[in-house]
Amino acid sequence: MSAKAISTELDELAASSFLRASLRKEVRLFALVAPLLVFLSLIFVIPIGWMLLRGIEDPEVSAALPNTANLIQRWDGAGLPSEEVIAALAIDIKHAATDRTLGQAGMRLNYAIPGFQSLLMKTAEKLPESQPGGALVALSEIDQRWTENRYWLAIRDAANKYSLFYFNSAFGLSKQGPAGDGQGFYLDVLFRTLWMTLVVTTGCVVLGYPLAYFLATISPAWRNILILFVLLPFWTSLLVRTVAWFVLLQKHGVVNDVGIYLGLWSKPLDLIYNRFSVYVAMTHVMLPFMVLPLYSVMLKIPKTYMNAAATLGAPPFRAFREVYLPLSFPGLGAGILLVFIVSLGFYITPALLGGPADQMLSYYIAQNASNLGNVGLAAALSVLLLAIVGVVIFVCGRLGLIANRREA
Amino acid sequence: MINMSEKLYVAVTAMGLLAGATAAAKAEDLTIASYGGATEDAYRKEWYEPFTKATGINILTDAFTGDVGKVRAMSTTGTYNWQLADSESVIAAIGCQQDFLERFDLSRLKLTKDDFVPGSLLDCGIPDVIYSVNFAYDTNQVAEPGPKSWADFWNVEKWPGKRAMRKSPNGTLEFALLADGVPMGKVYEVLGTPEGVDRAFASLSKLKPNIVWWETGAQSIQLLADKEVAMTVGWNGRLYGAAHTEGQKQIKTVWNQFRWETSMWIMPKGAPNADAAYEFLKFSSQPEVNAAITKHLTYSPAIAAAEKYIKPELRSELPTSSENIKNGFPMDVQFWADHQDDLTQRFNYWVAQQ
Repeated sequence: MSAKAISTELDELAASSFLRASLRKEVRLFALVAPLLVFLSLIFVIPIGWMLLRGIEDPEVSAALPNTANLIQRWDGAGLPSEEVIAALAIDIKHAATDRTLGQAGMRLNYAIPGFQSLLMKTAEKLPESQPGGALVALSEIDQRWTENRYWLAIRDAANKYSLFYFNSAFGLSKQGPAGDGQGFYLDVLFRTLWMTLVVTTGCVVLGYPLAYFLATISPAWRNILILFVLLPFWTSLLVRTVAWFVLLQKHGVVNDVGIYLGLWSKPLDLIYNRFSVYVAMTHVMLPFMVLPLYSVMLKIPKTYMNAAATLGAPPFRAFREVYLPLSFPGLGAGILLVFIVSLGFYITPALLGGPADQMLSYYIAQNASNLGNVGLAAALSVLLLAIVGVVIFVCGRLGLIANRREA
Repeated sequence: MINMSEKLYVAVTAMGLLAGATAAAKAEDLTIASYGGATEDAYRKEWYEPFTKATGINILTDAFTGDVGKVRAMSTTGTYNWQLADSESVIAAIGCQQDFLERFDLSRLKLTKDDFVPGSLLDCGIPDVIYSVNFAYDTNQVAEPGPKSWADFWNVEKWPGKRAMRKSPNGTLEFALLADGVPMGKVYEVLGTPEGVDRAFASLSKLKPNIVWWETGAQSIQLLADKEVAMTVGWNGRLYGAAHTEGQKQIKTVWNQFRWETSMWIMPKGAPNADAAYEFLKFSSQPEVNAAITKHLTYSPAIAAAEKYIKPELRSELPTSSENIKNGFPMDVQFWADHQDDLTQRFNYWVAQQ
C-alpha cells in the first residue's frame, strides 16, 4: 500500500468518524431539546391548530340534517327550495329530534337568525307523521316563518362541514344575523385593542427609557437598590397590582380621599371604569418589560462613546441622537415588542378597571367561549388576535427591531 | 434564616397537603355548584348539612358562574366538576334543547309537575327557589317619596345620582321598555320585534350617561354601599340581606314592576353518581326543607306546598307572595333562550358606544 493510499484511507476514516461524532452530537442536542419540543407541541402547536380548526368547522347542520344539507346545496337561493328539499327537512327534523341532535343544529342556525332554535324545536314537536298537502304546507301550518326565504338561506349557508361563517361574523361580513347595529362590532374592538396597545407601548417607552438610562448610569450601589423597585412589581402577581389600582382609584379610594382632604378638588373624580384607569394600570404592569431589556442593553454601551462624541464637538442632544440612541435600539426593540405583544392579549386589567367601552378583544373571546358558549366565534377571534401578533413580529423583524439582528 | 433544605421541606409538605385536600373528594361524594355568597351559606345550613346528616352523603361545593360554554364542555368532554348546579332557568332551557343537560325523571323524585309553583318546572331544571330582579335606592341619597317605577328610575332630574345596572341585556332591556311606557304584560311581545329592540335600546340610551355597570351580585351591593350610585338593579335576596343582616339599613327595595324568575337545579348529561344527586333533589324538595331557606334568604320556595311554612312577616319580602306577585312579571325563559346570543352581541356593541 502506498503512502498516499494510506493517507487517503486515514482521511476517510477521520471524516467518517467526524461525521459520526457530529451526528452523535446532534442527536444528543436533540435529545436535550426533545422534552421542550414535546411540551411545546402539546401545549402550544396542537391547541392552536385545534383552535384554527374550530374557527372554520361548521359541522352541526350537516350532522343533524344530513339529507337536507346534501340536497339544499343545489338550490339557487331564490324563492323557496324545491318540495324535495323541504320534504327532506321534514324527515331530518323528525330523526334529529329522536337522536337529540336537533338542538346542535338549532344552536348553529340560531347564530344566523335568532329564534331559529325554538322554531326547529316547535316544528319537531308539532310535525304530523303524514303530510297530505306536502311538506311545505305542513311546515307553514306550524309556523309561517318556513315560507320566508332567509330561513332556508341560513340552512344552506350552514350545510357545509367547513365554512367561513365564524370569520365572517368576526369581521361583520355575515349576510344574515342581527341587521343594522352590531355588524362590524368586532372590527371596532380590534381597532380599539390595537390603539390601546399602542398607547400603552408609547407610555412605557416615554416612562421607561429615561428610567432605564438613569439606572444604567448611576453608581452600582444605588443601582442595586433602585433596580429592586423595578423588579418588585415585576415579581408581584398581575392581579394584585390591578386590584391595588382599583383600591387607589375608586370613587372613595385613596387618590380621591387624599385629593379632597388636601382641597385639590371638591367632588370625587371619575378615575375608574374608564380608559384612563386602564392605561395607568396597564402601563404600570408593563413597565418592567420595557425597562429590563433597555437596561441590560444600556449597561453594555461604553460611557466613553458619549465622551468621544462630545470631544468631537457634538452637543449632548446630538451625541445622544446619533450615538446613544442607535446603540440602545436592540433593547428598545425588544421592549416594544414585548410590551406590544403582551398588551394585545390583556384581559383582567381592562375587565376590572375599565368601562364597557374599554374592553379588549380577549374579553369578547372569553365571553363567547365560556359565557355564551359560541366556541366557533371565539376561535375565529383568537385566530384574529394571533394573526396580529404574527404581523407585528414580522414587521418588527423587517424593521430590524428584533435584538439579535441588530447586534449581529 | 431558613436554609434551602428547610424551604424544600416546607414546599413539599404544602404540596402534599394540597394533593391530600383534592384527593379527599371521594367517588360517593356529591359536588354542588352555586353562585356563592349568602345564598350558598343558606343552602349549606338548610339543605347540604341536614342532607349529609340524613343520608351520610358528603357534599362538596363549587362556584357556578352561569357560563353555558363551560357546562356544555363538561358533558361533551366527560370531565365533570360538579353533579348539580343552582342555575338560571335560561341555561336549563338551552341545555335541554342542545342536549347537554340531564332530563330529570320526576318519578324518581316521587314528584309531579303540580308539586311546583305553576309554570316553573322545566325538563332539565328542578326548581328550588323563585327570586326577582328589583331596583333599590339609598335613602340617604334619594329624597322621599322615592322612585316607584322604572320611569322614576330613569328620571335623573327628579332623583339625581348614578344608577347601577347589570351588564347584560337580560333583565335590562325589559326595564328599558317599562320605563318607556310598555305595560308589564306586553314586554316580551314588544321585545320580540326588531322595532321593539330598537325602542328598548333608545330608552336605555337616555339613561346611559348615568349608568354604572356591574357584573356580579356582590358588586351591585358594593356600588350602593360605597355611594358610587344612588340606585341599583339587584336580586331581591341580596338587597334584603344587605339591608337586614349586613347593616346597610339605608337600602330600600322597590316592589313594583319587578321581574321574577325561577332558579333551578341542573345536572350535566352523563354526570357520575347521579343517584346521589337524585337523593339530594328528593331531600331538598320536601316542602318543609324547601321552605327552610326563607329563614336566611328572601327567595320564595319553588315547591307549592312550602308556602305554609313561611313566617307571615316575611311574605312582603318574597316575590311570589300574594301582595307582591301582582306587581311583577315573570321572565320569559324561551325568549331569552332564543335571543341570548344576538341581543348580547347587540348590547355589547351598544354599551361600547360613547
